[in-house]
Amino acid sequence: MDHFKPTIIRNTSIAQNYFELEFTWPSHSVPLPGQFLTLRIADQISPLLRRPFAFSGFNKEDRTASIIYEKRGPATSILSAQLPGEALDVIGPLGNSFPAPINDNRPVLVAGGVGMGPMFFLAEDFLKHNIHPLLFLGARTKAFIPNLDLFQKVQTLISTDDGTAGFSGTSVSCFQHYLETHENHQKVSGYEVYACGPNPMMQALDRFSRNQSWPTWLSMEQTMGCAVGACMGCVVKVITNTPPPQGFAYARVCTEGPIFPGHTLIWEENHGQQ
Amino acid sequence: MGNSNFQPDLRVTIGSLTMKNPVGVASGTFGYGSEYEQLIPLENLGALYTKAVTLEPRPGNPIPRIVEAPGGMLNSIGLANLGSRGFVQKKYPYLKSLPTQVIVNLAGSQVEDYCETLEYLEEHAPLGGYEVNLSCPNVQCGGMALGTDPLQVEFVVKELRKRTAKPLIIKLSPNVTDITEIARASEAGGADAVSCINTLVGMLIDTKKKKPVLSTITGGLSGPGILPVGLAAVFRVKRAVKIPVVGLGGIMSGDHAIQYLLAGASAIQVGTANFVDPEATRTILKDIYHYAKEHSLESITDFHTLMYPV
Ligand SMILES: Cc1cc2nc3c(=O)[nH]c(=O)nc-3n(C[C@H](O)[C@H](O)[C@H](O)COP(=O)(O)OP(=O)(O)OC[C@H]3O[C@@H](n4cnc5c(N)ncnc54)[C@H](O)[C@@H]3O)c2cc1C
Ligand SMILES: Cc1cc2nc3c(=O)[nH]c(=O)nc-3n(C[C@H](O)[C@H](O)[C@H](O)COP(=O)(O)O)c2cc1C
Ligand code: FES
Repeated sequence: MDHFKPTIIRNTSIAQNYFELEFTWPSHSVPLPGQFLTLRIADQISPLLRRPFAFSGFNKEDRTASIIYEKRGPATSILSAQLPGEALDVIGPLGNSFPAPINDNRPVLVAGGVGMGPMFFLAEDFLKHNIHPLLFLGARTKAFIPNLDLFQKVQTLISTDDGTAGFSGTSVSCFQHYLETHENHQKVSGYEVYACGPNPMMQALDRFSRNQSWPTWLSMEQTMGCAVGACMGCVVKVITNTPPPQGFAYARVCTEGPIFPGHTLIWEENHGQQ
Repeated sequence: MGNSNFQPDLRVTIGSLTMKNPVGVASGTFGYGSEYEQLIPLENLGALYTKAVTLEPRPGNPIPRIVEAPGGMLNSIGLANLGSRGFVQKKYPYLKSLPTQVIVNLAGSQVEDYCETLEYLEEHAPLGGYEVNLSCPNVQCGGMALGTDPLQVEFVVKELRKRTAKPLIIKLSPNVTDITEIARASEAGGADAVSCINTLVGMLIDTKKKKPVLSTITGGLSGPGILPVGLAAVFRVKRAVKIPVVGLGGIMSGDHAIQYLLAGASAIQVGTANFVDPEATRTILKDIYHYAKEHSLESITDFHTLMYPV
């Protein structure tokens, strides 16, 4: 992890309220899919805390990195008005990353809303390793769906809650529908599920893939203070093998996460925190 | 004035302990140091105040624990920590090797908890000293009540004093009617110093969900918004006791830290600002040094004599 001030190369809208921010990466570190950075948005007391964003891409040759963010509050509004040439205040890369699938499991990537950035990065990374994932992208409505070159390279299935684009329903039901209608999926030795999105989406996905015994990797979101493991603020509740009476622990999203194996999450408390 | 050869001596003495400079990092905002070692050189810190250590491990409070507030942030961590044994096994080996003074922040629910924790640490994890958190707003029973009653405070400090010769710094809560009363009780109990302030009780409500944002309803407010509260506390406490006062609350910049020194603080701690800019302590120390040079202040105590008589 480094603290540095890269320069904005591009900060453009890719869908309604969604922006892709590309910037220089003068650090020696190499961000991996699933990892994130924090941005200090402005040298002022409001918004105060640094904001976490997952990497949506990294170009080793050009030394550039990117994030995809949704304009939703004070920090992301200020960010969306920043221009190429301006400096960013970055700490990263932070957190763990997505593991490779075991055996020949076909990776299934499920992205919802602001979770699309890390899923696109992971999809690109799989392609580089000659692994062909299935990408499910869900949004409320068509306007929130970007149109990216990636969708030509990766088998992508889009869903919208209101049916204005792709499958009508959630990304999870789109995945289930795909399995029902594509008998050849049995040929695949198994699936390995990777997801980032709203908690209800990830919980539904976790429940479904637990039934199928597919390994599931979920990228969790939690409000952060320090983002380096010092404050214990960003936790999710997980099952532990520590002796009862507890049998649970609070794991830090910024340090033990943001990626957690689905079966370790205790949803009753983690649910609906966003 | 402004003699370029003049070198202020910014060392700070608290009881038997000397800090190389007055800029420390506040408990709960800097973990156990290792979390920040890749971002800043820890040897530049005057002191590192650890996250609270309790006798037994605590999982901490339910989620969510943090939310940004106007002018700061609210937290409800609930003293999540490994407990005294976990601290000795997992944190002490690293902490004892650090090139800075490490002050262990102690917390508990009852007097006995504090005493037992301190005894255990005296034996198994001797470090620079103790900061006694009698004022955490995020634990039920004990904690807060203990820190708000002068008689209880004097009693607990006396008990701890019997058990250690190391510096005892009593951390004061702003959530009391008269903070100077608690400071005097700490001094009477034999404390080497007091630190103020801990966080202020606060809450935020989610108007969409129509419920408090934090799981524990209320939490502790920290950050720039509490600067004036901390300053007033230090100013008043300094004039009520003879022992050194460590000032904290809302320090984001060198100017804020200098205000604390002028108000009478012998050292300061940086908390929430570490989250915003891990290099805050470095800039703050540099600014204090330049201010001292510019005003020909030979030591930290010279800051205390500088202010317009009030
Ligand atoms: C590991 C991780 C990765 C993330 N990746 C992305 C991403 O790739 N793209 C994206 O658009 N968003 C991402 N987020 C969420 C992003 O941090 C928030 O959208 C951002 O903080 C909003 O700030 P704001 O001031 O614009 O909005 P606000 O109005 O302040 O907040 C809107 C919501 O953002 C969240 N939030 C606010 N402050 C924080 C904070 N300090 N830490 C974490 N969350 C906060 C809260 O859920 C809040 O309800 C990620 C969050 C985490 C924890
Ligand atoms: C996330 C967080 C955790 C904290 N944990 C502790 C703690 O364990 N013990 C303690 O004495 N104070 C704790 N504090 C209080 C700080 O040490 C400090 O008194 C307070 O935040 C005010 O300073 P600031 O405005 O510079 O942050 C915590 C503060 C924060 C923000
Ligand atoms: S944000 Fe501080 S521990 Fe994760």
